Amino acid sequence: MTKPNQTDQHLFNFLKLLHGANLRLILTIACLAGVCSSGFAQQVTLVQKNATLKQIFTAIQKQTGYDVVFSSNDLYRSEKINVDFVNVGLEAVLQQVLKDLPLTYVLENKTIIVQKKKKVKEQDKDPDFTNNDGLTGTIKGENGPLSGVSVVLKKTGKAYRSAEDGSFYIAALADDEVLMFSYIGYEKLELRAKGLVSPVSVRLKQVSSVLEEVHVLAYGEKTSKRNSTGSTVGISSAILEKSTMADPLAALQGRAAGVLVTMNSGLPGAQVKIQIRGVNTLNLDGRARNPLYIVDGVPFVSSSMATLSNIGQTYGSSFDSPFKSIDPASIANIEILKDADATAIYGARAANGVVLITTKRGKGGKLSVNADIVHTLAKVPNFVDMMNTEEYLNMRRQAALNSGVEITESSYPDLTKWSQTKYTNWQKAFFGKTASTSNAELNLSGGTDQIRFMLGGGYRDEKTVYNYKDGLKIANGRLNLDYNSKDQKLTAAMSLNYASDRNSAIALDPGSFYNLPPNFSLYNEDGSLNWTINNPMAASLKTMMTKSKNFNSNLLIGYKVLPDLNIKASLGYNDIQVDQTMLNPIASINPSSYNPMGNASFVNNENKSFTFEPHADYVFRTGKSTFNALIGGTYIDNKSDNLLLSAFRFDDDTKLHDISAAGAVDTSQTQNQYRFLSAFTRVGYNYNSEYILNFTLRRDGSSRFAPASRFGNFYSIGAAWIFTQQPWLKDNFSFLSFGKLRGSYGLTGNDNVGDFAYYVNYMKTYSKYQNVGLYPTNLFNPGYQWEKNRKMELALELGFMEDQLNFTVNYYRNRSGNQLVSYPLPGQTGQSSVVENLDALVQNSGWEFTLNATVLNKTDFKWKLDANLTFAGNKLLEFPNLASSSYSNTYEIGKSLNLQWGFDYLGINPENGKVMVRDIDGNGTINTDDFIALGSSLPSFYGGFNNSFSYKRFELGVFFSFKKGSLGSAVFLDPGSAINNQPRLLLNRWQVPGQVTDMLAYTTDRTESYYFNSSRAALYDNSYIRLSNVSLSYDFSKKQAGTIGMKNLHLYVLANNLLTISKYPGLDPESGISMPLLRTLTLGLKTTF
Amino acid sequence: MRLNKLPYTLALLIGLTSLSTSCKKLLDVEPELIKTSKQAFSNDRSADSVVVGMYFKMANSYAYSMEMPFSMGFSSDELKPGKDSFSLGYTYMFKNNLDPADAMTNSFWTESYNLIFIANAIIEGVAASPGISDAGKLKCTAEARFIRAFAYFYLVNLFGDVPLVTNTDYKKSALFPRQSSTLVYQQILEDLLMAEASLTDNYPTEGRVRANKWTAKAMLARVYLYLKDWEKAELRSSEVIANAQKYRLGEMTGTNAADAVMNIFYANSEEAIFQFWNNTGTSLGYSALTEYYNNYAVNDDPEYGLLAAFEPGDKRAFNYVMPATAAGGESRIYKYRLINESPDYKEFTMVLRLAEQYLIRAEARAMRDQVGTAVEDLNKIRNRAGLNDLAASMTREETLIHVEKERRLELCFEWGDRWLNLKRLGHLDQVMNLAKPGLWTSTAAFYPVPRTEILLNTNLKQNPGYN
Repeated sequence: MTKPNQTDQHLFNFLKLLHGANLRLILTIACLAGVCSSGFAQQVTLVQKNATLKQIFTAIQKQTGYDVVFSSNDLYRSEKINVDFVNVGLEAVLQQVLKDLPLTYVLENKTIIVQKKKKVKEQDKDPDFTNNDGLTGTIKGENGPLSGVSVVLKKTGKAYRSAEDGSFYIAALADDEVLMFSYIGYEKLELRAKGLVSPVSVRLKQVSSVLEEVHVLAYGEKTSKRNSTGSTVGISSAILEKSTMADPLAALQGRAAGVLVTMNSGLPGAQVKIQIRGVNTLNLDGRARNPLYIVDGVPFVSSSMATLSNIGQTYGSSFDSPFKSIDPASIANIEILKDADATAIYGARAANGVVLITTKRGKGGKLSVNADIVHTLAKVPNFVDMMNTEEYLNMRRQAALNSGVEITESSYPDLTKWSQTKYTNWQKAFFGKTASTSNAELNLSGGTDQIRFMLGGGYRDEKTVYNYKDGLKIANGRLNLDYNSKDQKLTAAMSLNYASDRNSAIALDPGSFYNLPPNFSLYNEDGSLNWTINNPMAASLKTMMTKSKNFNSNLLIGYKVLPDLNIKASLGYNDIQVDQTMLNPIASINPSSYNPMGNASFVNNENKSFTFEPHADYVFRTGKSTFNALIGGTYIDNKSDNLLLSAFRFDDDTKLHDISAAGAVDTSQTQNQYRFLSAFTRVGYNYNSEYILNFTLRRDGSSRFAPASRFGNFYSIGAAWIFTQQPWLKDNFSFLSFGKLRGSYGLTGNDNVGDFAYYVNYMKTYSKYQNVGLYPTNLFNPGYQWEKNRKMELALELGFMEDQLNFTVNYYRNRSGNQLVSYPLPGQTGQSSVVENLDALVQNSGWEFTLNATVLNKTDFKWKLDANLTFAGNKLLEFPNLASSSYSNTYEIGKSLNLQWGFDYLGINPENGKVMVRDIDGNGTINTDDFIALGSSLPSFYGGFNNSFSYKRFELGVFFSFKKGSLGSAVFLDPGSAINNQPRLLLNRWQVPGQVTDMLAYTTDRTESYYFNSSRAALYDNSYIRLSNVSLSYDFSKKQAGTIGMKNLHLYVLANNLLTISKYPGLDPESGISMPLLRTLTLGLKTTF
Repeated sequence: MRLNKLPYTLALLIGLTSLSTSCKKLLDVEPELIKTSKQAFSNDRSADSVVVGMYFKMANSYAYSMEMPFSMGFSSDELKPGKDSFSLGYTYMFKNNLDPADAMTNSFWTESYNLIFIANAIIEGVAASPGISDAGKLKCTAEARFIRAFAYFYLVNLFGDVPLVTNTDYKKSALFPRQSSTLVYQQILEDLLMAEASLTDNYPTEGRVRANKWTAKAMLARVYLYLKDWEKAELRSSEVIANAQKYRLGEMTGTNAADAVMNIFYANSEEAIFQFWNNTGTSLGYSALTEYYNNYAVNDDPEYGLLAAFEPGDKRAFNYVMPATAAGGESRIYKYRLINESPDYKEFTMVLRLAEQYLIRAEARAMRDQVGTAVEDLNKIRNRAGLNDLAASMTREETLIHVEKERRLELCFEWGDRWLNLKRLGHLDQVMNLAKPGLWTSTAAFYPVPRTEILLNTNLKQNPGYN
C-alpha cells in the first residue's frame, strides 16, 4: 500500500474518525498534554516494506519511549511484514503488527511485553513458556473467559489487563507480592504470589454487592449500579422463584421502588398490572398505559390477546396474561428502566417505562442436568362476612315493611317458598377448595469453549379453587445457543422459546354468586336447576377454553471489527396465537327466557412481529477516560389478525361445536399492521469512575401517524458524579464508601393510538343487512402526533461501611403533554370524538427510597435487609375546556388522574334513615351532575421490605409488601330490594328515629342504595400490609448431594400471601370481590446432575 | 491502520443511509381488510356496501330499531311502565320528565346524526370517486339522501330546531347552531325530491328493505302532510296507492288472539313500502316480546288509554295488542309475534306501509273538503279491521276526528305516530292533560337537547323547560 496523497489523507482520517480511531488519537493527545504530561507521544509513524519485528519495535521504542521486552527471539528476527502507519496510536500499531502472528502483548507501566499467545486450556500448556520468573494464567467468570480484567500488583502498583481469551501475563513477580483481580460485576479477588505456578487458573465470582450488580441496558449494553447515570431496578431470578403465579411479573410486587404492581385477580393465568411511575396518559385504553416490554431483545405483546372475556367476570378485564408463556424459571433477570436516561433509547415507545426480560443462557462446560420440581397448594385466604339465614330473611322482611311493599309468593319466594332455616355459605361451597399446582422444569446445559447451549422444558398444571373445571396447563420448551469463533471475533446468540397453554379454568367469578341467598337451593326437587334467580351452576355447564401458542425467537450476530468495536445485528420473530371457544348450551340458559337456544363463539387471533436491529458499539479507553458509543437502528413490522365467529340458534346442545348447525353465524374480522423505524445513538463518557455523562438521541417513525407527522425526535442526557472519589472525602469520611449524585432529563413518547387510526376506517357490519355492509367509524384527522413525556430525575446514592449499607433516594418528575386523546365532539358531527393531540399536561412526580443492607455478615450467619418505599402522585396540570369535554366526570385540574367520583355523602339522616347526599348544582334533583371527586385510587405510598437470613446452609426470607391510602369500592350494598344476601356490615343499619349510624336502613327503594353506593360511604380505604412471602431453603453441600448422585441439591418451602392486614371489607384489597390472590404453600426442589 | 476495514464501514454507512431514505416507504402501511375511504368508494360494488352499511346502522341503532317507537309510546298515551319494570328511563319517559343529562332520548340525537354522517360520507365519497359509474353515483346518493331526510324528519319532530349538517367536515359542523325547522324541512324536501326523481321503480335488492321511488313518494306524502301541503300530500299518497301491482293492504285473518296470524308485518308483505331487514334480534318486535317484556305495558287507562279507544269488534284490539289475560296480567305490543324463528326471520320491522298512505290521503282530502273520498279511504282501513263503514255524510271536522282516531289505532306503536300526530295537530296539551293529569307540562312536547351536546357546542341552546 502506498502512502496516501493529501486528499486521500483527509478521507483516510475521516474514515478513521468513524472507527473512533482518530477520536481516540485526539483524546490521547489531549490526555497526554493535560493529564499524563509524558515526554513522549504515544503515537507511531512508520512506513516500511518487509520490516522485521526488531526494526519495528526499535522504532516504536524510539518514538514512544516505551521499553520492549520480547520473549520469542526467533520470531523477533525472522518475521517480516509491511507497515504503513502515520500518527497511529501505540496500541493500534501493536495490534496491527501482531495480528497475524502467534504473539500477544501486555502494556505494563511503560513496558511493552510481547509474548507468545497462550492457549486457555491447561492441557495445551506451551512447554516453551516456562523460561522466566513471570506468571501466566487465565481468568474465567461463570460464563467463560473474562477479558479486560484488571490485575494489580499490590506492592508495586503495576497494573495489567487480561486479554480477550482471559489470559494474562505478568513479567516479574516477587514472592511477597499480592495480585488483586477486579472486574465489573465480579467480586474482587486477592492472591498471594508465593506458591503460584504458571499457568494459574483464576475464577472470579459474581458479586452480591448492590453497587457491582450488572444492570442490563438497551441493546445488550451493561452497566454497574456504581457507574450508571440512569434509574433502573434489576430483579434477579432468585426473587422470581419466590412467586408461584404463572405470570412472572407477579414477583415484582413490592420489590422495586416506583413500580406499582397490582394483582386484579387470583384466577389461573390472570394478568398482573404494572405501572412504572404512574399513569402518564389521559387515554383510558390500558395498552396506552402499559410499559414497553422487551423479551430477549424482541418487543413483546403486553396485553391480553383474548377477545372473549370470562363468563361471569365482573371485575378485571385481562384474565389471560400473555406473560404466562414465559416460564419464570427460565428468566435470568428482569430489568425495569424508569428515567429518561435509561428509557430514551426506546424513544417513542418509552413514555411509560421499559421492562427488559432476559432469559437464562447456557454456561458451557460439561453437560449438566438441572431439574426444578415444585408443588403448590392454594386456598382463598379470606371471605366476605355475609349474613346468616336469619339475618338475611329479617333484612328482606324488614325492607318490605319499611317500604310498604306487599310480600307475595311471586316477588318474595325466599320469604314464602324456600326453606326458612337452610343455610349455605356459598363462598365456601364454590371456591373453598384447596387447589394444587405442579410445576416441573428440566434443562440441560453444556458445551465447548465455542458453543454453549441450554435446552429446557417445563410443564405447569394449575388447578382452581372451584369445585369444577380443569384449570390452566402450560407446556414450554426452549433452546438457547451461544457461539463464538476461536478468536472471539464472531459471536452469535440464538434463543428459541415455544409455549403452549390451555386455560379452561375461568368460568365464573366470585362476584356473580358470593351474594346468593343463604336459603337458596341450586336444584329443584326434581333435580333440575332452580331458576328462580340467576343460578351460578349454569355457568358450570358452559365451556370457556382459551388456548395460546407463543413462539419467540431471536438471533443476535456480532462481529468484533476492532478490539473495542462491535457490530451486531439482532433479528427477532414473535408469533402469538390465541384461540378461544365459548359454548353456551341450552341447558345453561334460563328456560323461561323467550325461545332459549344455544350459542357459541369461536376466536382465532394471531399476532406476528418481526424485528431487525443493527447496531454498533465502540469503547475507547485512554488514561482515566472511557468513551463508549452505540449507534443503531430499529425496524419493527407487527401484524395482527383477529377473527370472531358468533354462532346462534343451536337447537341441540350436542352440536355446539359444529358451526354449520347454527341457525345464524356472524363474523367479525379485523387486521392490523404496525411498522416502526428508527435510528438511535448513545454516547457515554466516564472519567475515572468519577464523572460520568451519557447522551442519547433517537429518531422514530411510526406508521400510526399520517405521513406528514410521522417522525419525532427523542433524547436524554444523564450525568453522575461519584463524589467519594474525592481524596479529601475519602480521608475525612471513611465510613462513606460510596457517594453518587446523578440526574437525567429527556423526552420520550407514546404512539399507542391504535393502527390505521388516522384513516377514515370503514368497518364491516358485524351482521348482515341482506349483505355485509361497510360503514365509516371515525372522522378524518391526519394531523395528530406523539404524546411527549418529559422526564426529569435527581438521585443521591450512598454506600456506607464498605458498601455494606446502600441507600438511594430518587426524585422524579415526569410531565406528559401533547396528550393523544379522543377529543370529544358534539354528536352533530356524526361521531362523539376524534383522535387529537390536546394541550393537556399530566404530571407524575414522586420520591423513591431504596435501602440494601448487610446487617450481619459472619461466616455462618448472614442477615440482609432490602427495603423500598415510594411516594408517588399524579396531577392533571392543564386541560383546556375540561368542563365541556366528556372527560369532565373523569378528571379534574390539579387532581390525580385516578379519581373516584361520586356523591358528596352527608351521612344517614337520624330522623328517617335516608341517605343524604349533597345536591351540588342545587337544582333539586340528585343525579350524576352532582358527582364530585372523592379521592384517588392511586396509593399515596407503597413499597416492600425483605429480610433474608442465612445460617450455614439454611436461608430464610421474609418479605412484606404494603400500600397506603387509596380508595376502592368494596361490595355493592343492597339492603333488601333484591333476592341477594348482603355483608354483615349492614346489620349496623338505621332502625329507629334518632339513631346515629353509618349504614342505611333496610329498604326496597333502589334510589337509596344508589345514592349510598355511589357516594363516599361505599368507598373503602384499601391500604394493606401483606406478608407476601416467607421462604425457607436448605442447600445441601456438594458432598451430601454427591452421596445421592447429585451435584447440587436445594430444597425449599415457600408460603405466599400468608397474612393481609387491611380494613377493606371485600375479599381482597386489590381484587375487590373478584377472585383474590390465593394463599399458597409450596414445596420445591432444585437439583443438578 | 489498514484500509481493509473500509468495506465494513462503508457497508454500515450505506446500510444506515439506505434505511433512512427508504423510511417513508416502509412506513406506508395500507390496511388490507379495513377499508379506507378511497377503498370503500373504489367501484360500484364497494360503494353499494357502504349504502348497505348505512341501512344496517339504522336498523341496528337503538333509536331506530326500537327505542324511538317505545319512547314516544311512553311519552304519549300508548304505553305505561310495566308493573315489574326495572327501567327508570321508561318511568321518566312516561312522566314526561326528562333530564337532559341522561335522558333515554339522548341517543336519538347522536344516532340520528351518526346516520346523517354516514349519508354525508356516501354523498361525498361517490362524488369524489373516479371509479364509480354515473348510474351508481346517482343511486347511492339518492338512497343516502333518503336516509338523511328520514333522520332529519325525526330530529326536527322530536327536538324542534336542530343543527343542519350536510357534510363530514367536523371542524365546521362542530360549531353549527340550531337551524329553524323550516330550513330543515326544506332540506328534507330537497333530499326526498332528489330521491324520488333518481331512484328506480324497483327496489335495489330483493324484498322491500331499501328505498325505491315509491318509498321516497310515501315519505314525501307524510312530509307534505306535516307541512300542511294537502294537495301534494294527496298527490304522492295517491300515486303510491295507485301502484296496486306493488302495494296492497294485507289481510287481517283470524278472529281471536290465539289463532290470529297477522300477515301485515311479515317480511316482504304486500303492504310494506319500506321495512328493516333483520336477523340480529335487535328489533322492535324482538324487544316487545322478549327482554323488554316486563318493562312496558299497553296503556289501559279506562278512559284515556289506548285500549279504551278500540270499538267493540275491532280485530286490531287483539291483533295489534296481546290481551292482558294472555300476557300475564298486562297487555303487550303484539304486532310482531314470530321472532326468533330459525333459520329465517318471517317478520321485519315495518317502517312505511300502505295503510298510512290511505290515512294521509284521507286527511289531505278532508282538509281539501273532499269528505266523501276521505271517508272511502278511512273505510278501507276500518273494513279490514272488521268494522263497519262510516257515513259519507260526516262533516269535515267529524271526518278529521275519525282520521286521527284511525291513525291512533292502526299505527299504534309504529314510530311514535300518535305522539307526532298530537303535536302536529296541536292536540297535545289537551290530550295529555287528561291522560296524565298533574304530570304534563307543555314544554315536554319537545325532548331536551342532550346536555353534553350543549356543553360541547356552546352555540346550541336548550329547549324551554329543561335547564
